[in-house]
Amino acid sequence: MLSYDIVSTLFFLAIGVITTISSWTIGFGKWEDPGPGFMGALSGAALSLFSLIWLVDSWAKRHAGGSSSIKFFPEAQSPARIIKVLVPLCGFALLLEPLGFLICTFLFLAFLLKDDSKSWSRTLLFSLVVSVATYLVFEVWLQVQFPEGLLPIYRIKKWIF
Amino acid sequence: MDLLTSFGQGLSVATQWQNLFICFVGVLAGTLVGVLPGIGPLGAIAILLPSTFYMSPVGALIMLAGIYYGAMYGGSTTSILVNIPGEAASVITCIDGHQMALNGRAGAALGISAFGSFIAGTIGVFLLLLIAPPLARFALSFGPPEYFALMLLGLTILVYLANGPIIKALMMAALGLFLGVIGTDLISGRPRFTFGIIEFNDGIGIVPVVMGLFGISEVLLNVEKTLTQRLLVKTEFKGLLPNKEEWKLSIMPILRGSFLGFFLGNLPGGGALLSSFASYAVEKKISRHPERFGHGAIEGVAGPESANNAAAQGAFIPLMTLGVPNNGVMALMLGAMMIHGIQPGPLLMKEHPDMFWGLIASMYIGNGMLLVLNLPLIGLWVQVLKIRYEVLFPLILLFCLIGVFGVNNSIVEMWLMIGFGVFGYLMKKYDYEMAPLVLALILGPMFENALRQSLILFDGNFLNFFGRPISAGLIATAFLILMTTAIPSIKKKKHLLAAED
Repeated sequence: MLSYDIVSTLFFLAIGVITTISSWTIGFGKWEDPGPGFMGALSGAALSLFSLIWLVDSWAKRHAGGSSSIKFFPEAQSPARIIKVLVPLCGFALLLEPLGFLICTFLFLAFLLKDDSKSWSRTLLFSLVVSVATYLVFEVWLQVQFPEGLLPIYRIKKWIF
Repeated sequence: MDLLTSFGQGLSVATQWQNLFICFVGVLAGTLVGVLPGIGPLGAIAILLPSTFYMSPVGALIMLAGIYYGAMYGGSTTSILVNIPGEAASVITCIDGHQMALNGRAGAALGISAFGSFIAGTIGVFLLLLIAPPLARFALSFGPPEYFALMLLGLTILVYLANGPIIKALMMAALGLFLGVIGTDLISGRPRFTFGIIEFNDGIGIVPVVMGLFGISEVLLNVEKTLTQRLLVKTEFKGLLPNKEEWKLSIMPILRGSFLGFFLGNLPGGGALLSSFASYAVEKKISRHPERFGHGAIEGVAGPESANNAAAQGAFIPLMTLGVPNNGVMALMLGAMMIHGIQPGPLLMKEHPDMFWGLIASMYIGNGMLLVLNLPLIGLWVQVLKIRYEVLFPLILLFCLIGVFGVNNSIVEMWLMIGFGVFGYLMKKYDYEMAPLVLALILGPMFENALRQSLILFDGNFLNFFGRPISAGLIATAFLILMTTAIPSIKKKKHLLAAED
């Protein structure tokens, strides 16, 4: 864990320094009349200070105790599993407007469930049912305006309802 | 009499058919969330928050509150049947609750848990009625310096109670305060760190941040491991009513747990987890047969389950009367109130009495619903427990995506949620707690305003904070709390307390 601490604190130290300097340029103001950059500079300075303290502490312990043996990923397949979740998440955000809610949801669920189910037809059926159900609940009942995309949903909706 | 009149007014709001329905949906959703390991009340409130936008502010609060105390009920079911806590505060119920199930008394364990929670909830509502109005009147004397000091204390306590080194929690709090700065400065109108993105002009949305940090990151942490199937206790539920002897053993722990839980839930940083641990410790200490604990002692279920439900009611006091949340769940409730244009605090009772009293009355009704729901629906919850996580997590992710899009119809916020999901995943790997970040993010704008107004008032002189008794006392308390981290014996016990999740 020690090397993780050093990596993470360096990251936060950088964030802290950048935000402090940027906030200062926005306008720190005066103590009796704080400007728009006041809180940003204070919080950035606090982040930098705390990061520096922890960095020094972690560095000192690293030399004393040796490097950590805790694995970042618990299993060999862990990175692949994480990517397998992140790809459809990003895909959903990217394709929601061009493809529309129904197609996106269907593809999202089918992709995530395909390895689990032994039957493709069950996966596709389940994905279709859930997609339509969520559409009915959120778009029709709760009036959330999802992008139509490729399907002429509004014309279908008008026809049904 | 005023109190009764006000409560009567609240009842008239809470018993409107739409609010009754919303309360029912909230407690049902909360129980479901409590039953399912892997998602706690914080994650559930974050995910279901967008669905409240189409409700009235009163309705939204009733539903979110229902989710919170409903999750306390539901968490005990998995603790007893599967020996896995459904949510953090039910950890202690695993010890004796699961043993009772293995001894063939699962029904009695589930039953006493439900009855104890109902009694505790009733006592909690009654205490809320008594304490909230005078506390709100006292808080009317608060000015910007007092609010700044109170928020500083709240942040300090949450930082103190975080697992791991205090410095890391302080880093998260500082980061959260900075994230709260993003947006347009209210005084000068100048954009700060918006990078030209229109969605950031009003600040970073709380919903995508919490859904990412608590929803998405939790899924990522769960899927990276090989998922093992949970083993359900194979037992018939021979009646859900405890027998006479079990009632005799349980009634005092229930009453003690209710009062203890309520008062601990009030404390900044306190909550259901601390309350349930404290109740178990008390019951074991005063029991004539402490050797029974750990082997299916019903007192070890009755006390903690009552305490955690009473704490859920007590946690509303600082939020509703002072406008300052005392744990992560309340911080989210504050965010929800702000989204609905409601400012909690001492003026809430005066300006929105229907909301204040309606919420309190709905808690009483909600506790009754939970008692009626949980006992007959045990069979359903058992079936829910059998749903494999491989099927569950895509639905959780979908709900998060829909929920965040439903807030502002914004793809940018969807990306923000995914980004914070990855950030939350990495931070949990690197052993950073998210609760201080979330609380600081939510309090940040209020914190900044209070500080700036105070400095203008004091002409830039920080020492004037100590010239006002309330702000001096609160700041001194915050300072003392941080200093106690240097004391080794307190350092060891700190790991027993944890921020609510």
